[in-house]
Amino acid sequence: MSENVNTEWTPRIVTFLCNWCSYAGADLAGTSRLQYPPSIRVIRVPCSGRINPQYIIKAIADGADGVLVSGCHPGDCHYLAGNMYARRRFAVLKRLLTLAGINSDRVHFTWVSASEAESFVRAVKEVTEKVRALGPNDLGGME
Amino acid sequence: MDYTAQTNALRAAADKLLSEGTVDCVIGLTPNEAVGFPTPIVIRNPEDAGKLVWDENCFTNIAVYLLRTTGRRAIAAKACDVRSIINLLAENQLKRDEIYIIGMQCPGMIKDGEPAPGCDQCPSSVPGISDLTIGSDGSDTYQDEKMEPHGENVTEWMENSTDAEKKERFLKEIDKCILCFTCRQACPACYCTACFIDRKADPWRQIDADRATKIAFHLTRAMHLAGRCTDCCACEKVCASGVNLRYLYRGIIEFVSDTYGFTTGVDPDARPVMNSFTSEDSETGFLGR
Ligand code: SF4
Ligand code: SF4
Ligand code: FES
Repeated sequence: MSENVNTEWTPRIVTFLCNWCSYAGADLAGTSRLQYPPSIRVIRVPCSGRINPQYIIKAIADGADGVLVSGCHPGDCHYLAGNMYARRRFAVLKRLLTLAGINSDRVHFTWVSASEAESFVRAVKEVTEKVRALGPNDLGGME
Repeated sequence: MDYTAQTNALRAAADKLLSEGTVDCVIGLTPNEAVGFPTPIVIRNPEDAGKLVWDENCFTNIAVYLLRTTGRRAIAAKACDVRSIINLLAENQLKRDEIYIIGMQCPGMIKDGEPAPGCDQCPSSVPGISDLTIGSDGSDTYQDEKMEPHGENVTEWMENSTDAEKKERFLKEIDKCILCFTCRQACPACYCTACFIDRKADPWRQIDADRATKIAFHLTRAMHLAGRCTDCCACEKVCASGVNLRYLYRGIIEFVSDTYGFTTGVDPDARPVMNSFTSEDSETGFLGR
């Protein structure tokens, strides 16, 4: 796996962002002209609690190199507790993927508020580096 | 243990419950020569009580039939069936006063000449709740029989294996699967009327007989069963292709117990673990934590 990794390779990271905080945070990063790697493909969702774990499983099974999920900080969810349920779901999902041999560095969860453009950029950089170090996801898609 | 005595006690109980009109039907197992082990039966007449049997091959989990019958139902249930029933009660899928549990003490079942899947990790020979008890000697008290769970510790295995080893084990099982969904049908916790895998109208849930679909099916099912699976191994017992993904489910059971202190199938009044949260929930593995 690691031989064909070069520093030019940019992983494809499916990114789920909560509309009310992380998506706005990403927007702010853009309007503030902050630079981050062009590795993410953003899917906007109404709440981190709206993210069906199957979305993440499907992304990995179909060959996405990584997944990043970001929602409102605990206590700040616009639907009160969507992210609290999501937190348990994500913890369990991460363990499940680890059991199945999917390196836990491929799937990441974090909280970013609408004003935290810098932490959004930091998260994207960190996740991109971690996924790049693992190389392409060879699990799914192929027979 | 004395299976003949247990069978006789079970038949007498079924006869009495049906004759006196305490229940509308009794769910149990009946000898089946064609398949070589007892299979489920629902009896409604006291004359049919003699069709019920209790022997060392009664490994089938029949809790799922409570979801496919109505009225007041009695069920001949061993410890693992009762764990499934408790989960269904906790999820409001059954009414306690409609269910009459005939608790069958079970020392561990035999399938194909070997201990049945799941029995190696069984915590107790005695059902957690019951309305009538049939001990292993056929009497109405449970006998003192210790169970010593000795199965695989999946968390330990996970910590001591490389990603490549874990992936190999997973894909070896995945590649055997023919997507027949029998495991889902047999599972007492898989009661959705519209399972995600059947919702072919959603284009993104495309179903092909390929590896990506198999991975998506099994991992999604494992997520749906997180905090709900009771390790009865009904899925493993029915799989004609010998797919053995029990370790994934066990791994989650261990994780949920270590992280949230929750064991499924113990308390019928407990709030399901994935349907609750605390403000202090673990964020191990989250970015920057
Ligand atoms: S019963 Fe076996 S072959 Fe059928 S879907 Fe389940 S795991 Fe796959
Ligand atoms: S796999 Fe999931 S959606 Fe399908 S029946 Fe089981 S719990 Fe329901
Ligand atoms: S609204 Fe942002 S996580 Fe719920």
